[in-house]
Amino acid sequence: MMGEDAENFSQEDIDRSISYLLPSGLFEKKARPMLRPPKDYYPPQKAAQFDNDGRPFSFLFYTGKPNYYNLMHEAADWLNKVIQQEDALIQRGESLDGIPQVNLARSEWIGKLALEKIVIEKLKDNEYERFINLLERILKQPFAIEAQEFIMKFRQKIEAVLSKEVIEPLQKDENGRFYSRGSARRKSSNASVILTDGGSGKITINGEEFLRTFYQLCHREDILFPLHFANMLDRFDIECTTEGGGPSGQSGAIRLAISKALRSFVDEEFVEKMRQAGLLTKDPRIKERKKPGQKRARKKFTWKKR
Amino acid sequence: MMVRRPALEVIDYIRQTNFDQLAIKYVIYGRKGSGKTMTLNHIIHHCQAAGWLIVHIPTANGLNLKNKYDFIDSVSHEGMYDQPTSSTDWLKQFKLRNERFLKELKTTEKYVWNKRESTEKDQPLLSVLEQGLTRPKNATDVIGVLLKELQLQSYNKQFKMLYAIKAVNGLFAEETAFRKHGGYIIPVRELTLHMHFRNFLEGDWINGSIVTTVDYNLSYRQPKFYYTPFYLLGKKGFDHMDPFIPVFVDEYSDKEFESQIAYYQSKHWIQDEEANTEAGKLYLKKLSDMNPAELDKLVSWI
Repeated sequence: MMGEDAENFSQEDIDRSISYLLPSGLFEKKARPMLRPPKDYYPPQKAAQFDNDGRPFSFLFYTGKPNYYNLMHEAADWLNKVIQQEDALIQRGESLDGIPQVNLARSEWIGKLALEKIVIEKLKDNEYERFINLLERILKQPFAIEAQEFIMKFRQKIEAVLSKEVIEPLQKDENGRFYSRGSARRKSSNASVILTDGGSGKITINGEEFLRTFYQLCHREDILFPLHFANMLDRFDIECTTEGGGPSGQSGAIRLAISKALRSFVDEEFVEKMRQAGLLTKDPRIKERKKPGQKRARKKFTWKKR
Repeated sequence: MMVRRPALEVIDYIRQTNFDQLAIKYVIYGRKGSGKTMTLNHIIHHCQAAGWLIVHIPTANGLNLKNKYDFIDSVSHEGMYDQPTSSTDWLKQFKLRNERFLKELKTTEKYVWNKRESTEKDQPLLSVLEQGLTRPKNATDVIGVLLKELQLQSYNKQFKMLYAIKAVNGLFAEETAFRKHGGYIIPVRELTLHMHFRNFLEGDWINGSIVTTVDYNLSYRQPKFYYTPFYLLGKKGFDHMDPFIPVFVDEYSDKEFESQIAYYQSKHWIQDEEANTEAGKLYLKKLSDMNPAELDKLVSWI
């Protein structure tokens, strides 16, 4: 904290300083010490609801959920407005063609919890459903574009993980053959793979033969799955290096590494297909820790009465 | 049926051999499941069809491990051990194969088994063998006598002989599974049965051939995937076998793979519809890595 610019001391600087001054090895990140404005972590509270005479501000106070019903009223207003515009158009005798539509691609409705945060009230499942149904009814109208700003408040973007990842372009080796690299981990194994185009389909693992390293069928199936999926079983020469863990961890790591390297050889559409087939997703399962007072992760000591 | 190149090669050598010379040794080697034993079997079949006498050890490595309580103090060799059960088993299959020869060939000297029993000179060798079957205690010695007689009488050129051993490195191994009461593990060098087979392997006989394989299956040697004769036989075994002709059995070539798949299809062994297509064939090729045994395992359930 010493020697920092006091004028421009941002939240990021505070976080950095706290983690330096009060280092914590706790696994759960929420349990570590922090210094933030209370707004960030205390739940939002309702503003005052009564005036000096003791009467509620909102005419919907006695419904029990004034903010929610206010929102419903607002949505219903939007629906009426949109329908009125359509009626006016029809009365004028103009056609409905050419009205732009609301772009809903890459977004979805917010969840119940998020809506509860907006209205600061507890909601039932059917109340949430009623609200979403109302918004969907607005969307069905031809003039829904008018209410776009209101509707988009209740939609969230779907973050595409894939679009962030950069696929490396193909490289050329000294013989003029295209190749690409990939590396991945599974359990406690890690693997790196070089796919060389125009080969005979030979697979070597740490310089040794494929069959000798993986003598169990399931492991060989695992490794060949991405190539089988892409119908490219005899196209590449595959050179794998892997270390750590056992055969199933190693074969899983090699499988993911091959799929990653394969992305450079196929088009974007096929990459999406590979993702849907689960080829590009890391297997997050790891070994469960041993607990004190127990024999293994789950197994208990033999129970003896005395 | 497909007889592969290594078997044809050895059969070709055997056909062109000058049988006036000492027996030539062949050592077949290769990776696990590459078809060493099938190669040996094809050669044995060829010789059997040609009317040869067959001396066959089905697995020499197995002799060190199977029947592990089957040992008694040797009758004829002090400080060594006989194996009655293994020996009688071997004698039975030897009799089944070569009864024709055993009736014709005669003993060259008198053999005394114990105080009361003996085999006179000029008796058929079959009577010697029957002694081993009726008195299992003498079975191992009977094998020694039979092999000695065959070695001596090979110079008369009455018969041609094939000595075929699978996993010959078992005869030159060190460890066995035989454990005496008190914890003493009997080494291979103290087993008379192995000694007789080893002596016969020296090749002091003519009018025949010696065909062997080396195999790391059932062997105590680590790592288990080295398959060269020198590694598996060891220095001692290599010197004992020297000189020999090494024959390498490789995995399937593309052509062999195709014909093997065609064989499986003709026998309706591959039932899966996808496996019968070109893409399926390619997948089988990659999964089995062109290894005959691995392919056989794969197609057994598809």
